[in-house]
Amino acid sequence: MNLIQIILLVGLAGTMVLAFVILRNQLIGRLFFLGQFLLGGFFVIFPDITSKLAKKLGVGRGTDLLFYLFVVLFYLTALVFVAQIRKLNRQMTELARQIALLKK
Amino acid sequence: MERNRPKTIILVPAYNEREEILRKTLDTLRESGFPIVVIDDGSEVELSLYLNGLNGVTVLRHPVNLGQGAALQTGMDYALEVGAEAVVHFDADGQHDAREIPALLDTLTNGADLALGSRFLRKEDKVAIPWARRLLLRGARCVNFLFTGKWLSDAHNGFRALNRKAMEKIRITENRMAHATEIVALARKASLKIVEVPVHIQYTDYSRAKGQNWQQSLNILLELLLNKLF
Repeated sequence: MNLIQIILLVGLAGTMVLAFVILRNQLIGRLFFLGQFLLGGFFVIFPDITSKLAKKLGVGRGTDLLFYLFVVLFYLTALVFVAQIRKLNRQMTELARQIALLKK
Repeated sequence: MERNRPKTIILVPAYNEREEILRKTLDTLRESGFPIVVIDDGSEVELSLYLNGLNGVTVLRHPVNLGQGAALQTGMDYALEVGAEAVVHFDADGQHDAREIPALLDTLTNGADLALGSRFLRKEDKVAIPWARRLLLRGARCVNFLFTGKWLSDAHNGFRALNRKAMEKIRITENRMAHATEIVALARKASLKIVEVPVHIQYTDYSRAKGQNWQQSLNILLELLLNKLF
């Protein structure tokens, strides 16, 4: 078990919790997604850092490291979107229901 | 006797039901003497166009299609609004027998809060079920037990009756077909009395084509799981 595996496992398991927090707290969600952009920009400006970081964590190349991080972030984003859509669905149902009852 | 029974409304959710089938169902229902509410779940052709003027029938219409669960909840919101003491959920396609409504309502009068029709309590009802459906239903009751903790002989039967207390405690949020399990789960949570009543379901080629196949059943299971997470 090298460091990257631990990080990814914690990341995947923690995705649910993080999604939950992001959905409840608008500020945290915005800070989180802003942070991703800043991190992405940082890696673009200093690409060698990804290679050094990768070595430290037990990953072959910097590219691989970025890819793994991307997978976890993708799951997180997908979870947040699905939850938002379900919430919208519930609200839409209530609206349609009120229309049906008003027009009876 | 009608006088002893609480004020009851029959709820008939309908979506794109063929006119002659729905009319036939409503005609037999009107013989029962109870007020009927058809919930048009966003049918492409507004059901009120050919239902308007039918005595004893009120039509509510969803502006968009939401699903049978949502349609039933809208019907129950209406029933509560007008002071109904009980509602009966009744399929639009003619599968249910209106003559069995009194049996369901009597169960409520005798202390039940939720009366659920079951095809598995009498031999003649059981053998009438197409074998593939029977197999799916046997699986469905296991899934139902897993999610609700209440063992039912028939976990996916749309023929049910609820009293006012049950309507107040149960709010269906599963818009589509997972509502059957949700109703039982919520009833258990509210400690409502659930009783199964033998009913006969009439299968025709028309209704068979509409029923649950295994893909829809898998979809319902996934829907129930997803809801546990979100």
